[in-house]
Amino acid sequence: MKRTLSLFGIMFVVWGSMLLLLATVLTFVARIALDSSFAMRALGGILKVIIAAFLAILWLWGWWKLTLAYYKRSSRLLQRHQLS
Amino acid sequence: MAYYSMMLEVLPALLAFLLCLLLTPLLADFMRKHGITGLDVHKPPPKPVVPEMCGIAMVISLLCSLGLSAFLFPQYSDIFVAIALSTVIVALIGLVDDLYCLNPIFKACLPALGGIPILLLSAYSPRPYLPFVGRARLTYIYPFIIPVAIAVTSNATNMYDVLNGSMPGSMGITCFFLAICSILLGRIEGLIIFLCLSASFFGFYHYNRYPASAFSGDVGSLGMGAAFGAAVITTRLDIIGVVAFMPYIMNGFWILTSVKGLRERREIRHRPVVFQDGFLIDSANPHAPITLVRLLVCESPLTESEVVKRMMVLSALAGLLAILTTFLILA
Repeated sequence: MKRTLSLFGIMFVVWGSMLLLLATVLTFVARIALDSSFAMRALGGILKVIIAAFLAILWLWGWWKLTLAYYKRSSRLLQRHQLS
Repeated sequence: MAYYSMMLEVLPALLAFLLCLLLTPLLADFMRKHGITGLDVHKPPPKPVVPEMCGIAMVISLLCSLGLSAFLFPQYSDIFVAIALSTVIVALIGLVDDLYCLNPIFKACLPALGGIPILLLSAYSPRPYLPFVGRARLTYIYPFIIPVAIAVTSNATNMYDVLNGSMPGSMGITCFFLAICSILLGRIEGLIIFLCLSASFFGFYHYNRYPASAFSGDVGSLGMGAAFGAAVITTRLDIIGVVAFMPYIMNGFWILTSVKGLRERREIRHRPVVFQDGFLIDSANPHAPITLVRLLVCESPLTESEVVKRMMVLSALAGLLAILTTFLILA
């Protein structure tokens, strides 16, 4: 059950950070307004997409590193258990 | 009156469950007679031969229950038709893959076609409700998200179908929790659809659980995954559906990241877990993909049914998070 709860811990972190990320992107990034001219609006749109994509990649990277850290820790525990 | 209405909402689910219970053994006999079988690899030798493609029973049960739902609740018939068409399109792709083995890139991308009926019937709302934010306006982006969502749900469900009962058991629980979320949000159509889905999965789980007497095949896992995705989109449970589906998304993300791209199951030569003395053990191979099953057995070996039980518990916990998200939206 401990392992299931550890994996739930990862899921909980992913859930919380996903909601925060969505809130950040939709509340702050989506409201970037540069100017009323077409060129500046287009630039603002591109900027929004770049910031949102950067945040999403950062989130996925963090998620992957968290999983790897969990896997390495668990494998070490198994090896220690097998050695003893 | 309320009792009568509740009976009507449960009736299609009851039909789905009974039909799936009845059809699966018939299909299993048919597949066995025609040599459409597969080896159950996580069993001691001699490995049992199990009929494949029996997931057709789930698809047929769901389609019949959706037909009954459209008859009983004609005001939601466009939603039921959209889900049924999406399911049929993706199930056919799964059928072709089962019989002829598709290229992994085609297999991953083709289920996106299941989004077409939803787009054509306009059975979606581009203004999803999000926690903390409220109603978001995604008028331009949303139509592009729909095919991607169908491809993701169908492939993630397919990737979860690795052990006896892992896919139908976990998906049945996920859909049941989404039915509860639909009640909380007062969405009758969501309640009907998710109960039908849950009933189909649980009907099939009876035959697919350890030791399995029927395998779903890609026709079942891809088709029902698409049905789930279409149901989440058409019932406007977008973000709640994503949260409930997290164990499947996490499993898919880990596999894709560790194998660095799309690979067909048969292409992955290094197995993440090995079967030894009745237990599933981490292969400890650095080249093998990191999967949910591997993470569950990496600390100590477990039996197949123990792993499946834990996968189902994870689905239930994700369902609780989905309920929590529903309350955050309602707040």
